[in-house]
Amino acid sequence: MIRLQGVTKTYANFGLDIDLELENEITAVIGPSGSGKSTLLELVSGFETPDSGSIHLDGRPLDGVAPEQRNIGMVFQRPTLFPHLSVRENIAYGATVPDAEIRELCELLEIDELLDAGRSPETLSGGEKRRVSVARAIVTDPDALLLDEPTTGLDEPIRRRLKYELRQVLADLDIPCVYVTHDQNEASVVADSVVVMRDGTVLQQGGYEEILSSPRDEFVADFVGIENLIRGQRRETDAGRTVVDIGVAWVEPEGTAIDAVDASKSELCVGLAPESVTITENARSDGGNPTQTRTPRSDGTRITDDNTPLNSANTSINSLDCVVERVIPERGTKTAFLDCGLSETFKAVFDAGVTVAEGEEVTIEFDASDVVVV
Amino acid sequence: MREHEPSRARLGAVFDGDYTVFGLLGTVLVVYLLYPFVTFFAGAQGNGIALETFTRPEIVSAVRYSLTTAPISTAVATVFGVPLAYFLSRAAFRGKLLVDSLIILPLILPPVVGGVMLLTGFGNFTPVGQLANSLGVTLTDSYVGIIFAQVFVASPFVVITSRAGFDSVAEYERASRSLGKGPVETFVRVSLPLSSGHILAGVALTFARSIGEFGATMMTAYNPHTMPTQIWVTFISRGVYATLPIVAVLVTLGLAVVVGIRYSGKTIGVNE
Repeated sequence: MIRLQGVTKTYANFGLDIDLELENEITAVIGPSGSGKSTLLELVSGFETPDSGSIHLDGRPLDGVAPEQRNIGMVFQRPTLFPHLSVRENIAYGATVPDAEIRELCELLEIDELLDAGRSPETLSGGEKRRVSVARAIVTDPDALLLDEPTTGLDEPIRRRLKYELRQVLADLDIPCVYVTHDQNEASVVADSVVVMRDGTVLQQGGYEEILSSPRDEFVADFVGIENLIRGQRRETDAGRTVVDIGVAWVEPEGTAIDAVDASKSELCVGLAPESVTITENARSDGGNPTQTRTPRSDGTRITDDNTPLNSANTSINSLDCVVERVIPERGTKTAFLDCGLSETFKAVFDAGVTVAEGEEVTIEFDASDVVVV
Repeated sequence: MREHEPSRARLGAVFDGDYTVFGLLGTVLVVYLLYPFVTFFAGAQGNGIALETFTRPEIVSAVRYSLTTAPISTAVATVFGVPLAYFLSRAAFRGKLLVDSLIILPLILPPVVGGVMLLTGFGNFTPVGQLANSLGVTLTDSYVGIIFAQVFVASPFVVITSRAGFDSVAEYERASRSLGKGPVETFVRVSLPLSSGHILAGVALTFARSIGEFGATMMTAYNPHTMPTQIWVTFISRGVYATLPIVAVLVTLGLAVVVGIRYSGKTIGVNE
């Protein structure tokens, strides 16, 4: 286990302040550029010294211990294979495990054929270089492994394959593996748990699903892909249910989600991933009813045409009427930008087979279980 | 990453048709640089300077002095310069910029100025010079004087070039440290071999500069004559074409160094 207690590091334009425990599992560290992900690795590996605080690895203090004495493996953003050594010599450079184990690992990483005939690292593809650099770090039998965006710069198909293989290899190690990435999908595939960082601090730590279902704040929610964040007022319906009034509709999360939020908070933010909505109704906007104006009022209520305030009888719950502003087809999906009368455009991702066209009026729906309350 | 760079062919296409101006301007310089070589060697032949002049005693002596001092100067500059280069590449300290700037000063100063300063530091009547004299070593107008001048003027080459080499291998050093190797083993097994191209280029440049050193040497050791000093002496006494034998030796050595740097340059490119 890696333990960082009150670790701070200040640079001219950036400060880091971290308390963190990393178990013997794969932890993905995600966050935007400049959030301190790489600095965290520098501090744990010993290439940077904290200004204050302490770092322990399996109870062993690392303060003042040189990088080579820490027994912490590193996989750098660039593979940094020694160009003057063969692939085999690169892997053997710091190896402490028996040859049979090296062989086995190389077979698992599908680089065993590269060990022969004094092949030079120059002759390897980008993906092969990454695998070799991962093997080179693991065969030192480290007490912890740090990986700094190990799939950066690889072509997408190679990257896709590599992350599954990394998952498999790292999961067998039973040491803390810290996997820095800016790709939250990669984090979900590779890691057992996730640390979200921003501005040099840890915003949230937990399982990926846990962070998805209860992000600590709007930043975390947005970062893990819950892109539609809508503010509204807590409201008890006449049926005794708790909903969030977002002006144009009511959003009703699952009871457990709303119970997790401080009951005294009257202003709530609900989040919806673009993938979690479905279209229930299409209507051509160029015929039939004139388009209704859906301007929310600042007091959170909506006035309908006959000036009656909303109630549960005339308000839609977990459903929104929208006008399709823009549709962008992607591989297997369509991303639609919808004007639902909210302050921001609503983003929805549908299957490619769903019929949705620009200018159309649609009604979208979502499950209470998909609603996240921040 | 290499694959993201536009290819040479595409760059060429962009420039197509616009090469002429560049080519013409460049040609002017190339012609200017080559023309004196042609006139010199042609003129020397026309003036009947024959190959037997190579064996004149003062010329043999000059070649001998140069070829025995320049390698020593190069070795001294390398032994102290490579560690300095490594230190400057890795260490962070106050005044680093100042040291960085001072290192290139001997390259920029006229060598004769360096010679003046060396005389005030190591001349016969200075404390250091007198101390050396009492030990039976003469610091000026001697082997030592020649080497002093050469090291002063030529050592920046090996420092600057090696430093560039060390700068380019920092990340490999970190990889080595993370694989459990200490600073010394890392230096020997990673930094040094990966920087060897740069270091060798620096050594070659230092050697070439040492062989050709004239300005500072004139001040610290007019005697015994090295090749450049002998060229001056011969030119004064017997005319410009009489310098042919020594010029030929120096030009040959120069070409050898250029080829050597080209070759070691091929081993420099440490890239993914």
